[in-house]
Amino acid sequence: MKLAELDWMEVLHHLPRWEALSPAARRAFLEVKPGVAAPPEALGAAVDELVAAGFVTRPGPKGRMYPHAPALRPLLVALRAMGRSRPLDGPGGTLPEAYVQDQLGMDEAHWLTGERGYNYWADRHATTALVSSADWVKGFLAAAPGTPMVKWEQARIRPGEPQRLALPQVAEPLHRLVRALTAHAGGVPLGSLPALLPDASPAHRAAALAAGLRYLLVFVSLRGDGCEAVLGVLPCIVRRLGPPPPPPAPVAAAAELETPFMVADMTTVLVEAAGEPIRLRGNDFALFARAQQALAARLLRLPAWTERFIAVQGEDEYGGKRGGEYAGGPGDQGQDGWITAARIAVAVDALRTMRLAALKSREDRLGFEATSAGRAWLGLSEGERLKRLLDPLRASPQRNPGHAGPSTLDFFGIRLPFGVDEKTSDLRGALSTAFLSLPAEGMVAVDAFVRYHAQETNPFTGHGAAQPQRQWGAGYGTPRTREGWESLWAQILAAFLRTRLLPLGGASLGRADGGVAFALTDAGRYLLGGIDAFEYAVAGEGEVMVQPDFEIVFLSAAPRVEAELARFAERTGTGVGALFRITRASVLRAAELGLAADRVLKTLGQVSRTPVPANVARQLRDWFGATRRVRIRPAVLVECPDTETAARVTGLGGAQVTAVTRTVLRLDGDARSVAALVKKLRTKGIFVQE
Amino acid sequence: MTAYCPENPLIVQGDQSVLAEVGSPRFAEARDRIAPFAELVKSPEHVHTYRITPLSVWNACAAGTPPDEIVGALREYAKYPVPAVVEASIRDAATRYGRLRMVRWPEGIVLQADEPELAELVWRVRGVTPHLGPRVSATAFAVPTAERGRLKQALVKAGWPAEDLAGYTAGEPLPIALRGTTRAGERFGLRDYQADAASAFHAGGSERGGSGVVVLPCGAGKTVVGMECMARVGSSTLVLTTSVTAVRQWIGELLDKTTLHEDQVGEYSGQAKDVRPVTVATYQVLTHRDRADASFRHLELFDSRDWGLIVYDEVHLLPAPVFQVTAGLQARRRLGLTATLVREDGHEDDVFALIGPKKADVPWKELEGQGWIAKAECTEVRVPLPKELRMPYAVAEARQKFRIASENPEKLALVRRILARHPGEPALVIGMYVEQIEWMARELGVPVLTGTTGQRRRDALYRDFREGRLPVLAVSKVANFAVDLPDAAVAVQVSGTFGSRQEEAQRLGRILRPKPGANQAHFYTLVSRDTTEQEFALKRQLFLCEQGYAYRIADPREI
Repeated sequence: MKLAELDWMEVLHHLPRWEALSPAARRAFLEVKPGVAAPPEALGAAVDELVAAGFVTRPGPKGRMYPHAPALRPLLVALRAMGRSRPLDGPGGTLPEAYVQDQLGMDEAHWLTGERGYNYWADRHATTALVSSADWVKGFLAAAPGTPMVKWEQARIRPGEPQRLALPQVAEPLHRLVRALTAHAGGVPLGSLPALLPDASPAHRAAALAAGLRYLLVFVSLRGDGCEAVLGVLPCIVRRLGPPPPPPAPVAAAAELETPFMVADMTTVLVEAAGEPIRLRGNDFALFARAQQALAARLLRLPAWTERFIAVQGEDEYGGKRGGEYAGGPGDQGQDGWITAARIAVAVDALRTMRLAALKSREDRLGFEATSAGRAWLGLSEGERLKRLLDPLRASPQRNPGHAGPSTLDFFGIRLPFGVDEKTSDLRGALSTAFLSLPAEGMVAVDAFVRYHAQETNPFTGHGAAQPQRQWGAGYGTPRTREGWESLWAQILAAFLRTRLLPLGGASLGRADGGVAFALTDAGRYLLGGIDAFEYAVAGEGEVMVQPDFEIVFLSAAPRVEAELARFAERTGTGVGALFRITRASVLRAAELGLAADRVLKTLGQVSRTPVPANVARQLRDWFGATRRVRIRPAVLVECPDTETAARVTGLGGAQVTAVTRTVLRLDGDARSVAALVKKLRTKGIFVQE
Repeated sequence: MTAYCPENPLIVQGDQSVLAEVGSPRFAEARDRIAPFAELVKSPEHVHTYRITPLSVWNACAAGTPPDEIVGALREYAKYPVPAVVEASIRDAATRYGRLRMVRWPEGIVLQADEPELAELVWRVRGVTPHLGPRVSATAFAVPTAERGRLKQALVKAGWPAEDLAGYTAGEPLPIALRGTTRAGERFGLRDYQADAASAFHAGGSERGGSGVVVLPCGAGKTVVGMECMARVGSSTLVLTTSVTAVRQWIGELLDKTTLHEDQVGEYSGQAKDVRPVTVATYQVLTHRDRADASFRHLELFDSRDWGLIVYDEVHLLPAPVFQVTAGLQARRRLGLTATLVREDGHEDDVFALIGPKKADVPWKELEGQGWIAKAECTEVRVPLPKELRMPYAVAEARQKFRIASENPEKLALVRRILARHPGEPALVIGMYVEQIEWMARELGVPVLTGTTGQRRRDALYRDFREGRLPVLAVSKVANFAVDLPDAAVAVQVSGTFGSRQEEAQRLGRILRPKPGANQAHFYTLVSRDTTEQEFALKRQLFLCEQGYAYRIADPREI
């Protein structure tokens, strides 16, 4: 039932009787269908009250059903409609799409939003976004009753449709009503309408209400178990019209996570890929389940609340849902496995992008293997590995999402549904300014930070940077309202924190009373260009011990240390306990990666609570010392029958010829120079035998 | 306990292993609390590893430790919450012990279950049924005497251990007592831990005692414990050990430290077949047969007298045929002596079933701390292969490579330097290859003892070495087992097999007996650098480090 077409005079006339009912009686009356007698079981214990109040009448001597009072039909219809849709209870205070579907026809929706689109489909999402924007109400309030308001209305209805606001006696009350309701966040009782519009007649009051409902300016709803009839403007609009959010204030929170886990994840994957290529599925280039599980078991453990934080899709009060690389929800791996699968995928993608690993096809098997650059990267310390990720990001000329250059990660970690002009826009600058405005000490709540900057320093809405220009691909995901742009900027800020700052050690995370809090680290300031250099703190000593029998025991969890040790030790467990064992095979693998004994011993010395046992140190040096590097390359050999011939060939070949043995010579040079030498030999009577 | 307690020493892992942090202030008390129900697997410097198995839990139950106490001990000393699966497993194992008992009824031995349902369950286990006699009640079965041991074996394998309370035959009475002064004129007495071990085994003569295993480190005096047990049992005894030399060592100890006379003690070996009230035999002679399909005729020794006690020395080396015979000897008291319950062949459960549960276990660190065994320092010296041997080594096949590396002539100079570092200290030079050890002995001017050395000469050399007239003795592999050389302070191994953990423990045990002065023993291993010998030496290194010995790797110039 379209609320705008109800007889609101009748509804408002009988409303006081409804307000006099008890909550139980109200709930019972809502069970009655208009024009249909209700069975006694539907009315329950409230039947007597409803009869006494005149809402229903008792059945006749042979009947059992309770018909409702005919005069109350308009009220009943209105109440049932208000109870069904509950427009003031949408997520974040926005209008639910179902309400638009209920209350507006397709044509009406088209004309209301100005989208002339398809005649078989209405973009209700666009409609709800439009009417949930503060600008919708502001635009109406800016149109004074009279001609401006008539024009406002005409622009939003099909030509020829009767205009409700042509009458000043309707337009003015509506104007006053909307203005009054913007001061009430939770709405007001519907029964207080006369008090809000004392100068309007009941008919005009009803017409104003109907017009407000028609143009989605005001809404009526039932609230709570008491089914109280309320009237109001959308809560999100009331909120938006209120004072702006304050700058984020420091909160009391201790840093619980400050670890560049993307570096650790990449290290874990690359260590595996360096040992033996990780097989991939040919159809979608994904890891096989077993490899996925094996990697997942070795990933650095993050606290559950942290995983929830980085996995969220950035849903906020605006209802926007756009996340970064880790965003999502339960996938094939189920609720618990999603984030580890996402981390592995991010690590694999980063390794490929940075050419530290590559897809290779060998003998019809697709594998993911480390490149020489990747092996060299593994040989670096944790701080140096991190810097190798940060420096290209920092130095990249990228200014906007989606414009990452080759061999470097996208700076933002998020893609937009539309293009942004690199020449005229600089979202990176605005983002950096926002994060660098954080205090040097202490943490701020993530929500407060995002909310403030989304509204007050938003480059999309003209704060601090030029409006970006849509170039291509614009469509369904492009915001149409100020709130939409604020939501988008909030998503970008949040995604940058979740997918870049936090995984790269650029932010520390903690828990405060109001939710998750964060602070920028030196690595984060470095990434954002706030400082030119930073010292990376080595993974602190945990409760780790290196034993004389080459086992490494973790008496407490030390995830970063695990990632470090995995480069040169074999994993034998997870969590706490005997987690690693140094073996000859693990040392050889490390040597192949380019690690050296000194570096390995330095790492062990730094992480172990007790001195590295002398026999372990000695054995490590011996194992590393026994490794050698050779080169294999094709060569052209000349096998001579005797030393005299070899001498003659050497004389003719000059620098091109190197003696391998007394009668076997190696020819260097390209095919042309070899051919030239063969020709020269022929002239001297030395013939090449095939 | 729900939170992380860093001051606690234990980490209980889901695979039922327990890590114990030595540096924790509560380590010693935690170790003492878990020793009754957890087997020590290894004890390197900082963190020791124990393992809880159904067998270890049953051993604890046999000693009177209830499951609540086991779980309580873990919870009290664990850094993290004990995994629920471990607690459940312990309770499950513990609740199975004591529910089946072998008792003696007037009609004979019966297997009694605590409820009919268990009796039904056990009766239906395929491996158990053949060893059961007819049913005598809803909860009891007759047990043929000959099946007593095999039934216990089968029940252990089925996960339902039986408590053997059926008692023992008394055996021929034989009064034995330990002397206060040895025949050699030295004061002698039991150490506290030795007396405790004997008491635990004997249990006052009740049916709860009389069968079980005493675990003591090498050099701790297991022979003395065996003799004390013999004295407490007071009946004829058959002692089984690993070699003729060990037999003679036992006989020597018995005559020196007990009231037994020469005519009461006999040797049963390849060289003698004297069956006397106390007879000491080798496993080898018992398991000897002329042909592969012939019977083990010397196993009749078990029936040749009414033995009241059978002592199995180095029970971890018990050969399979002896196990089989032991299955039929369950009416006799049985004592196993060993440094480790861990067997290479995994037959620990047979030891539990046929010999008995663990009765005593003293960590070697504790004995070392009390001065009862020497501190051992292990040094591996890596000797370069001389230039002229490098090519022959490189082109040799694997077995020959090992020999070339082992017989590296450069080792001789190092042996000289090592012996010069320890002037006056009794030293053994041990080697695997007879030619090598004979050559070294000639060059060093010391006597050599090999497998072909006659027994008389061998005994003379041992005597001279023990009495200090011979400071250095070169020995081949024969010295691995049961050579009693209490005053050897230095062992230099120039080649070895590095095969089994028991061999390593035995070899080291030869020098662990207490020494005067600093009570320090030195064990050197010489290996050729960058050869297969060095790779094999890694196994030794790992084993010795796991046992907690200090291990050093050195270059020749450091010696």
